[in-house]
Amino acid sequence: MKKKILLSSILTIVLCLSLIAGSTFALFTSTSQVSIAATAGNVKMTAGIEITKVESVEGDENGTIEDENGFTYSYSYKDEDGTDGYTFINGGTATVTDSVLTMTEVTPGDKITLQVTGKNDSDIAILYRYKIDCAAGEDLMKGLVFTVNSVAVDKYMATYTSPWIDLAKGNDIAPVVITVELPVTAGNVFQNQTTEIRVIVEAIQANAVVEDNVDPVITYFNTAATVADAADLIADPFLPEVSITESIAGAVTIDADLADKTIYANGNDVNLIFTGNLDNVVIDGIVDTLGQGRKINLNAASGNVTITNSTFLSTGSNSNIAFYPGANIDITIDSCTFTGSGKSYAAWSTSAGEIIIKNSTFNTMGSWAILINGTQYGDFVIDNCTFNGCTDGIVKSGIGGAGASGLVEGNFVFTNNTIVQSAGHDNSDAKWFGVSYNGTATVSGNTLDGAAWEPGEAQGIVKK
Amino acid sequence: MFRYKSNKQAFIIAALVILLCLVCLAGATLALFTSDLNDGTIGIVTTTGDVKIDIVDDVTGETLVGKTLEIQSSAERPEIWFEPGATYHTQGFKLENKGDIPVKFSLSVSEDEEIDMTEFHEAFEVWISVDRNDPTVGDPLKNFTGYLDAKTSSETVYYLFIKMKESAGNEFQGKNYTGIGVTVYAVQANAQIKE
Repeated sequence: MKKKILLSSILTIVLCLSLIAGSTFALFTSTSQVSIAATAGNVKMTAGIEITKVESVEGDENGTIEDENGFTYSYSYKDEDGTDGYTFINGGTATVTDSVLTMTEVTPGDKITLQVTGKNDSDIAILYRYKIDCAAGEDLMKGLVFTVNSVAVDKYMATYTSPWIDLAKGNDIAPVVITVELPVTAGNVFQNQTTEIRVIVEAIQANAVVEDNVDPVITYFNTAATVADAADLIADPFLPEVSITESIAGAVTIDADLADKTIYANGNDVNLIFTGNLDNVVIDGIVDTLGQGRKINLNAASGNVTITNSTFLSTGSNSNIAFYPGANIDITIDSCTFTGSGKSYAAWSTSAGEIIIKNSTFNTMGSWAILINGTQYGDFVIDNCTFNGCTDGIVKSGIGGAGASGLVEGNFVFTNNTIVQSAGHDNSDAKWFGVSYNGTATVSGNTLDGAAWEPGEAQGIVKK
Repeated sequence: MFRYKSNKQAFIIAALVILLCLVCLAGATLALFTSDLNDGTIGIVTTTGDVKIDIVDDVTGETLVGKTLEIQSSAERPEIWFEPGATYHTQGFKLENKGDIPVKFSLSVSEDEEIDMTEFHEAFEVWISVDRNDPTVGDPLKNFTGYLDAKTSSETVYYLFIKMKESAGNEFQGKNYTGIGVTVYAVQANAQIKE
């Protein structure tokens, strides 16, 4: 009997325990309730903008700001009052309404200083950062120049993002001082343009995991690392300078007329094909690592081009390692290095206008070091260059095969050049040059293997 | 008799209740703790001005670009033949600033077609005046600059006076100078104007 009772008791207990494990609301409960009120926090950031001053340039012979015509200016006009709104010198205005700053009739040489303020209206501590970007009208944005907290940002800024910054509840952000300027060098292409720029103050809860950069992150309109980007940016009339940030495989073809454009290759390899007119175009800093044919192609183009601080390779036979200009292009090559192997040459085809080659080096060319396979309509100048191991002639201006001479319509100048361990075409002393000129020839200051050397008609420089 | 250990049971339930609440709270914070983008966005709208200047007929106000300025005869010179010392003036014209900003302007005589401007300047003087009856009043064209407010036409009527220099020799006899243009050059008013 006792045993039986015990069994029952045990069974009973087990059952109860099971029930408790399965459900909290079965037998043997006792409730004791406590109220918990949990309110979720709220992140709220408010921001505003104030104009501090507007400025405009005025002519100043002692000024440090220079326009494209060489006139100098200083920011001597200022409007810091703002009682009746802010006005630039040419009548443009700057006003703030509902957190929108509107500037009208801005002209080159106008600048505004503004202050972005904000407050953590949250219930909690936050991290905040501010961003500047373009909501619409990128063309004018490309012409504007910014400073942020007195630090100048490079030209062509597209976006600016600050690091994350701590901010306690109820506190104000450290004011952000931004200047926006349309520089005096901004050309007519920026007339009658509009841009919408945003300044965004972002906030996030203070314990969030965020990027830990200590410097601002800035992107630019004018940087290219792909064929498509490079072609678009080089053709863009709103970008006087384009920066190639990585070597680009494949040819970049620019089917546009260009004016006043500088392309910085920054030591990267890039193949450029131009089909339009080129008025004051500068190409700087190409480093040819592939050695696969023409690096800069001036097909069917005219105008004037300068190539500087670049290195070219040729690894094949009969390779035109650099240029293929159209008629009447003036070309200047300065501080470049050409290195070849096999029957290679730095070459131009068809014809050209004026050619100036200076401060450059030609290494181990297996054919004519410099070859122009057609008529030159201007002067041909080679100055302060080094020819090292060029064993099949120095300069040929000609049409046709070996020994044929073309015509330099202008003057031929060969001065201050150093020739080392080189030889004439077909190893002939009469064929160091294959040049026929119409104007005058100036040959002086040259050395051959360390000795003074003044080549002339006997070496292939012939008056027409 | 099993005795219910009420304290332990109560604790488990209370603990469960609290745990549930905490779970809900953690889930909610992930959605809440960023700012509303609209609260912190500031817009900057910038519009640039433009420079547009025109040469217009002093009577009709129509543009003279692409047209030829008439050289006008006078009672003293009913026919227009230049000879050393002869002076004529053009029809009157005004300048109109059609742009949004004030401008400075200057004028120059330039080649409109392919003619030898050196030869022209050797034979002729050109100056600008506001009095067509008095050729002695005026400024050499290269020294002349003006100013116009935005969207403003000059009230002043200008005339170009052209005089064949007394020193022009026989080599200029029979020569015909057509295709000479007049260019007005305008810059924003605070810029320095190029010559």
